[in-house]
Amino acid sequence: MSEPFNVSEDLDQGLVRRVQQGDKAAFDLLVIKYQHKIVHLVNRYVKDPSEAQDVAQDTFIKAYRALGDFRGESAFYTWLYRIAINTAKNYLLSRSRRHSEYEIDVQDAEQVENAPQLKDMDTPENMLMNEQIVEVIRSAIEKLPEEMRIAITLREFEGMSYEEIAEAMDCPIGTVRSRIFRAREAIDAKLDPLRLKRYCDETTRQRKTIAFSR
Amino acid sequence: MKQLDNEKLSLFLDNQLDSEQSLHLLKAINKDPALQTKLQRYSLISQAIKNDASQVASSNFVASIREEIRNEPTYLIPSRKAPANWKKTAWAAAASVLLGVSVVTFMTAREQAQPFGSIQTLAQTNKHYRTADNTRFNEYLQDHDNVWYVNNATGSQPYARVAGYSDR
Repeated sequence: MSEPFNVSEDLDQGLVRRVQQGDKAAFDLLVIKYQHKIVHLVNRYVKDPSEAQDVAQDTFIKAYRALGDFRGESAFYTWLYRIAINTAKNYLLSRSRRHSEYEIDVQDAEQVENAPQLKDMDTPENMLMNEQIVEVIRSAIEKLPEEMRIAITLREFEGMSYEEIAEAMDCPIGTVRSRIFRAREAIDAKLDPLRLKRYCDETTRQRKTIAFSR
Repeated sequence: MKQLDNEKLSLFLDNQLDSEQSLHLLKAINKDPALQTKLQRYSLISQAIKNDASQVASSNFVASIREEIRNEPTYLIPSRKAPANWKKTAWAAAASVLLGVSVVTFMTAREQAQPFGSIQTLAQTNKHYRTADNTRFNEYLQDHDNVWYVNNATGSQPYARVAGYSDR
């Protein structure tokens, strides 16, 4: 479902313009805003957490280098999304070439959307960690009070806007905001902070130098 | 204060803040590690609810990129005016030109009209000029009725003779 209004587009345009005028710090704000989305997106292709982090970082560096040519014909995130996909696919192609298992023209990367060789295999450790986190979160959702559970479910599962949720639940929009926030806080409290910290640190500690051209 | 910031973070994730609020919050996140961690955890929760797999950026993600682009050249592209302003300027220029042309046309018409005083006078004058022109034109036709111009030599070769010359 579509968002009620797209407030981020103006913000992104403003930040891009500031970067183009020499304000490098404005790029930090774009990175903060989209870092988790891009890592998550890249992780769909590159399953190893540390490699996914590196490829996501490379995406942002490539985006910075190309920002001079960005004219805003598409939304900044759409543009960044394309760079991320291409970077991830090129990384997998590059890695596969190093392993000499098969040869694919790099220029074909964009066309080969569902090629099995362009999907990475998840590591057992990562799979286990993911399963644990998902399990804890699902269990926490089940234990939420009904109005909070419905609100967060409609938002996250169904992708409904706050206005649509307010209409569906027959309550003011302010109540929806509060319910979703309290649901997130309650789920967050159930997640073991140490486990999450370890999970996030793990991806950092395992960082390797990725050997494809920048 | 933290509670308020966390609530804003929740709204930010759902794209519910306006540009100014979002910018303010992003700047706060940039300075506050606690907010960075909160954003990381909220993002993880959101992804884990939507999918079976979840992966978020590491704690030093932004710092690493900042370090990487430190040596990159800084952009110095001149600022461009917003398209809306260009449109307004274009419309204003077009309106000015149109107004200018209208004024000049009006002034010219007025100057031409003044020597004759009124439309009736102008019509009579035109008739007079037309009659004089017609008389002169008729005289010209009569004078040159049987003459054909050959090799720029005028007044000596009637058309019939030219045809006869050609037969010869």
